[in-house]
Amino acid sequence: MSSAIFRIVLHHSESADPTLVRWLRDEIDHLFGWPAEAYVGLVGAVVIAFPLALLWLAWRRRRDLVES
Amino acid sequence: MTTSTHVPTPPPASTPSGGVFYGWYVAGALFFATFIGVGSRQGFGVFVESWENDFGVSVGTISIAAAIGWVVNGLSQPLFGRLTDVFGGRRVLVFSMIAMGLGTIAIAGAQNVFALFVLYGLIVSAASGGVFPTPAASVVARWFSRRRGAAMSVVTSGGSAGGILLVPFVAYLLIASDWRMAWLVMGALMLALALPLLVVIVRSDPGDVGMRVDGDAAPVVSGAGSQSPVLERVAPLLAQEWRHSFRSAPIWQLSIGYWVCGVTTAVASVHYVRWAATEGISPGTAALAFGLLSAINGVGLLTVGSISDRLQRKNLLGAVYLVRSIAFVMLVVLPGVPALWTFAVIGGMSWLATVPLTTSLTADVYGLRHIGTLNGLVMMVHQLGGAAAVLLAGLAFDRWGTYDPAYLIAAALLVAAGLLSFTIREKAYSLRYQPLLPLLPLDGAEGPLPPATTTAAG
Repeated sequence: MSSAIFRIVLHHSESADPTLVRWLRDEIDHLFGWPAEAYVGLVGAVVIAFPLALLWLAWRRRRDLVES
Repeated sequence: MTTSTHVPTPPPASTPSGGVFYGWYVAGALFFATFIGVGSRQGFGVFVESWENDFGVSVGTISIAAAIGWVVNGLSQPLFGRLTDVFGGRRVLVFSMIAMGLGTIAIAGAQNVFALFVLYGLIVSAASGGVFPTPAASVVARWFSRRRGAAMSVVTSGGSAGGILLVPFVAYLLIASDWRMAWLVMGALMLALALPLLVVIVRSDPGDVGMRVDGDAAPVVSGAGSQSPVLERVAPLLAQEWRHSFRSAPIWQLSIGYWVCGVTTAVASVHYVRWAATEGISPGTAALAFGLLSAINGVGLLTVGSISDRLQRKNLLGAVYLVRSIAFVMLVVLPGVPALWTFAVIGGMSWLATVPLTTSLTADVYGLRHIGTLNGLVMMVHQLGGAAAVLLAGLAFDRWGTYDPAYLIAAALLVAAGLLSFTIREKAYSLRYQPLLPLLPLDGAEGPLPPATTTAAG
């Protein structure tokens, strides 16, 4: 009983459902056929680029505000 | 106090001096913090099989960590909300991100499931409550007034984006390396990217960088001369003590509605795939439908947030609950596959749209003095309602062998929440609809005038 309850909670809380994740992975594989490393590299680049670009833009904005 | 017929008009995105209002950079940084924080937690399920093998324990045992995390995250919200009110959102966000990053890296070194209970269930889950939604929403509320709904929706959409982008990223990271490396990378992303954003860009209040809310150039002055008072809008229910807010109706109306939100989103998201199986639908098709729901959710979230800056938020909030109730009714009355797709489309439009509406409305009605505490309490109600509902819906399924009773109860609760939201007297109590009043003489002492007395609101 307790195991069933915790399984329900796990299924919901926070977690990507393993079934959904497995399906999503299969779909991406089917669509692109890339190795895992390529996907990690691509998404990783996006994840890293966004904050760096935001930092640069914010720094420029604050510099403009100070100068004005 | 008379009620104004003022209709809020969002200001342009740029400031009077030109350029994008700095508050949008703050919202962007909080978007990313939410993206990392929520996305990494949503990836928990990806690692279950690895932990089963490495720790030699069952799924049920591993899920205790998730269960602890769910409760701890919910209970931590009011605490972090209070800390936000006392110390400022930036400090809470920064320290929470440090704790979350270090905790996440420490998970990479976990040697048994008990370490997982402590590191994930307690430390990371609690620390994530110090990032989103309460402290982040409180900071946004201080930077934005007239475009509060739009800014809140941008930050909230970070959670959606995290689920869509980061979860597959983590899954592939797991394939390319192992689970320890995956947690190490996530922790590094938090400390190396999200943390600098919070430190460099985010400020608790626009006044910290010499700006005003919404990027306004200067306060409105009623006349010439140094004795002329500054004109500002005052929230009628602004209270000296946060607990006094619970003597008024809106906080109860918002909390009950948000509780229903937690109940219904939890019931649907937990049991969606299992419900699909009972209808003879494959897990892949159910997953595709839930993916569609997530995508529509992102669009709906941003749309509703922006529109809410032009209309009464309570009407949109009520409409969102009613739309979601229709989605649940469709699950019961339509046959399997049509029900699946109808729910994905209709439900998706309403999924996270309650978050910017509720947090914005709370700030509009009760002002900013205790906004962290109030948002935290409302969020805790949401989380605990969801946790209880998941268990009850599971037990109901075991008892009757169908989800129909649970879904019909959810629909009824949503109708009640919708009607309750419509009854919020937003024009009477929201700051947005109040007339400009003299607040401070220009050469007067710092600090706000005593607020209006909190009264029982109907």
